[in-house]
Amino acid sequence: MAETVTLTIDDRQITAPKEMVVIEAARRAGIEIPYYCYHPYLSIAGNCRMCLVEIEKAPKLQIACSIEVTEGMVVHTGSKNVLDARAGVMELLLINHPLDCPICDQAGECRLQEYSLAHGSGTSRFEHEKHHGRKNVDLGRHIVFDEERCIKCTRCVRFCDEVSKTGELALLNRGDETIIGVFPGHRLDNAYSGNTVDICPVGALTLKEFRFRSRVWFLEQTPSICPGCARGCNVTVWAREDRIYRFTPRENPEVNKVWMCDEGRLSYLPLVARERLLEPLMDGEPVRLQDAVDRAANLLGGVGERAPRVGVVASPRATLEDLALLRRLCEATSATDGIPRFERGEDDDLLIRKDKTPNLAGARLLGFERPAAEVLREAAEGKIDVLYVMDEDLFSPAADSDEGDLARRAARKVRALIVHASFRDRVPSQAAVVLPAAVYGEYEGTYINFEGRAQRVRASMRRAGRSRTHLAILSAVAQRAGWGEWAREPSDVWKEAQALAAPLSGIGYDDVGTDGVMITGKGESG
Amino acid sequence: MSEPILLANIGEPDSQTLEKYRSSGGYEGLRRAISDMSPADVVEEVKKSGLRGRGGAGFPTGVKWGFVPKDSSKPRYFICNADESEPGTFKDRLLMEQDPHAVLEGIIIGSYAIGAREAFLYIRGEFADSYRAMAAAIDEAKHASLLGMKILGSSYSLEIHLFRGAGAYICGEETGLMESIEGKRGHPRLKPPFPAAVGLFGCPTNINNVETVANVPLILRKGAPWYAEIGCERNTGPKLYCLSGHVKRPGVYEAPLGVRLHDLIYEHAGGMWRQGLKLKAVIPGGSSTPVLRADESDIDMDFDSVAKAGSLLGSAGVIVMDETACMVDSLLNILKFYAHESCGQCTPCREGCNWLVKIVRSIEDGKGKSADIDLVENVAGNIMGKTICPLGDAVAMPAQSFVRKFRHEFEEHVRLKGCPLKGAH
Repeated sequence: MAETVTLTIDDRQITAPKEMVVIEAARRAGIEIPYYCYHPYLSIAGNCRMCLVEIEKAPKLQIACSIEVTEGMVVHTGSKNVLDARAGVMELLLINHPLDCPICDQAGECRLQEYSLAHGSGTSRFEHEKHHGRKNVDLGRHIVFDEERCIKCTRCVRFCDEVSKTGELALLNRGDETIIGVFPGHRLDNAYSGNTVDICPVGALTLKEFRFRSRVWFLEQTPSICPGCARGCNVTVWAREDRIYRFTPRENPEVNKVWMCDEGRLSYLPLVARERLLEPLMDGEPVRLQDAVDRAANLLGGVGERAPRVGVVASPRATLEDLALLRRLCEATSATDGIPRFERGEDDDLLIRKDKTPNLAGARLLGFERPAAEVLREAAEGKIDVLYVMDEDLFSPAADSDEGDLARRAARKVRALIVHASFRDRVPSQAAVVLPAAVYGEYEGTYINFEGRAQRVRASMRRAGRSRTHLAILSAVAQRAGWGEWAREPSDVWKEAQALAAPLSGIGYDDVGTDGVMITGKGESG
Repeated sequence: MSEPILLANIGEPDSQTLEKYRSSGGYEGLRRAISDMSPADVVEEVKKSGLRGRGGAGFPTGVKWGFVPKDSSKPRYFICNADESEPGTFKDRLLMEQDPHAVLEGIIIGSYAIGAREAFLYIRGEFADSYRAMAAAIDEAKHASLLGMKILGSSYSLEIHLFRGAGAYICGEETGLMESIEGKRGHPRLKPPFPAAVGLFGCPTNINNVETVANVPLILRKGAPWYAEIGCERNTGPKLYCLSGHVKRPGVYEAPLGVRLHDLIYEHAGGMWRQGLKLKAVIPGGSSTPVLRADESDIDMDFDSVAKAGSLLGSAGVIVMDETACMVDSLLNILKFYAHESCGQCTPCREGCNWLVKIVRSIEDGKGKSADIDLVENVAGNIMGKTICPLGDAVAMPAQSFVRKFRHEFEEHVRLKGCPLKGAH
């Protein structure tokens, strides 16, 4: 336990760790001190002056973001001096601000709006020409900058200096001509640039992929996990009417602090752009779901002939629960199994993992260790009769190494190919049965990240068309194949997963919570 | 008028040379410090002298030197702030141009006192002559073993880095200056931590004004008791006063601390520049200090007396205004300077300075309303004491004092819809 001090904030006795700044000590005690430039994961700049508070015995108001708590300190956050100072700062921040809220993307989540309501005076005494700046400045691949809205809090500059460590941004010029800018010939194009938009407290930095798409108050927020790589950054999914509009990072000090990479942030875009498979297919023709399930069950069960040799290719993008049922399918059919890798680039020092799937560790926990290539090679060599593939991206021409090529060869060779597919574009024409699978955002379950942390992914949309979750598809096939009644709810399947994977014992489905839970003894093994 | 002490060499032929400086006792102070005294003894001697910082704040120099921790594992740095930029102030420049060895000796003694092995002299970019004079003095001192390795045969060594500013007033603020030396934008730092603990390159640092360090050789050469006899109680030593504005003989004048302001104006500077025109106002300590009306201005020019009169001795840049000066226009001129020099880092100064310019300009141009007069005071109040560095106060203090003391002139502008003194001078 760190050393603590006792201080008084607004007549309340508060105990806080030594070296904590007043603004944090107050926040933990439920006392809100307004601020713009302060950010708990960045260095202290102290430039906005919004958090000025009165500290007894100090000769003048002090900024709560930089003053550390001391024993016996007495702080007033609501005295007349403090309220006047805040109103003064609010007025000054707005004199050159365009007040273009009706066309500003930040509306609804803007600190200027919120604090104007809480701490502003309602009117301005400024009657002169405002200082004008450039609009729609193209700062980088994803970022647009509005000079006039900027309040020069320098959070974005500090982010690029301290977190992404790429240093593209700086303050330029002086006085009220001060602006944020990039160095000549450079652009704000680092792998984490979208975070500058999140931390911009006003509408100065906006994301090209989200701006003008929706008012934020129309969007429903769901706490979930980014599916873009093995880090499993905690995110909030913002959706409306079965469509995802954006991901924003959600704080988890153990996983991603409050950041996420641009690639993960935009990983929902293919969900919108790619054409969904909305109905089951048999030999390329749309059919009823029941017929497709029957056919799959028959092929796997080998009705009327000797048991087929089954090969299963699991997906590290499926949830732990999906994979638990797939494991049962493997057992029921005595299948040989494998798992593909979707890797690109290199791990970096911050968040990005080269494993571009969210649940490889979960798949391994359930015994999916063998490389998919081995199963596919067997299939391509005619040693497998029925190939059951959980993720049609296996067939992607872009799939890494030989896997895509092997998969396409295997598809041509096997007697029957059964595929769970969410999109139309990569389904091989040879597939005997294609079962329409729900996409990210339509299902709930558990991912285990590369560090062995189980995290909960949640649904924020209804399933499209006649698509079903992997769980529903697998349990329907099991039922038709006569393997018994399998659980379909993730929380029930979790118990089955526990039976299959010892490290999960003692951890309930709900224990995963919003912050995740470490699975003991399970880390990345290679 | 007493004999000059600080300016004794000024105006002499070759005053900037080492030979001339040594002929009148130069570097004797350094010799005494290094051969006879420990660094702690030097700090004690300066404390006893009562020397207060001449940069503006008037903080006791010896006490400040004592703040530098002796047990730090990091290097300690001594900085001499020669970024003299406050409007109405031009004393440091004179010392550097004409008596550079006095400045240099002071830096060496100060560095020895705090245990610095490296010192920085940060010279305002426009001061080309000062730079040349100081660079030449450093060369001479090195050749004479007064600087560099093993000074005067002792075990003490010191390297001095000359650093030229690039034209920003804010780099005269001590932490803005350190940022500038480090190659960054001249943005003042949050305090605490203070430079004595975390200064240049994150190391313990002591920073002193040019005039302050120029006093140090005198103290070491002639002793603290001698020095403490000059001036008045708690305000010891000689002081350089910069007289400018509507006086006959503008310039730098030396007098003991506590000299009467009217003596400076009417004796040293020869009185009002034009016959028959009366004194209207005086800014006693550089443009950032509160203005005094003529009837408030017959005061002693020491730190405590000027503060008692409601202003500050500051850099002792005495700006004198006669009846032809429009106080609205004068304020506008001051505000424009600070709006231009605001670093833009913190909200009140960045946004407030130029707003003040806009309001006061509209009053001067005859477009002001009477509510604007209160607005000037109020906006200045929203800057005062709420900024990262003292530049905010430097703009707020003149704004508030001009309006409070010459409110009738502002009202007259509003009433007449224009400046009654336009073209009067």
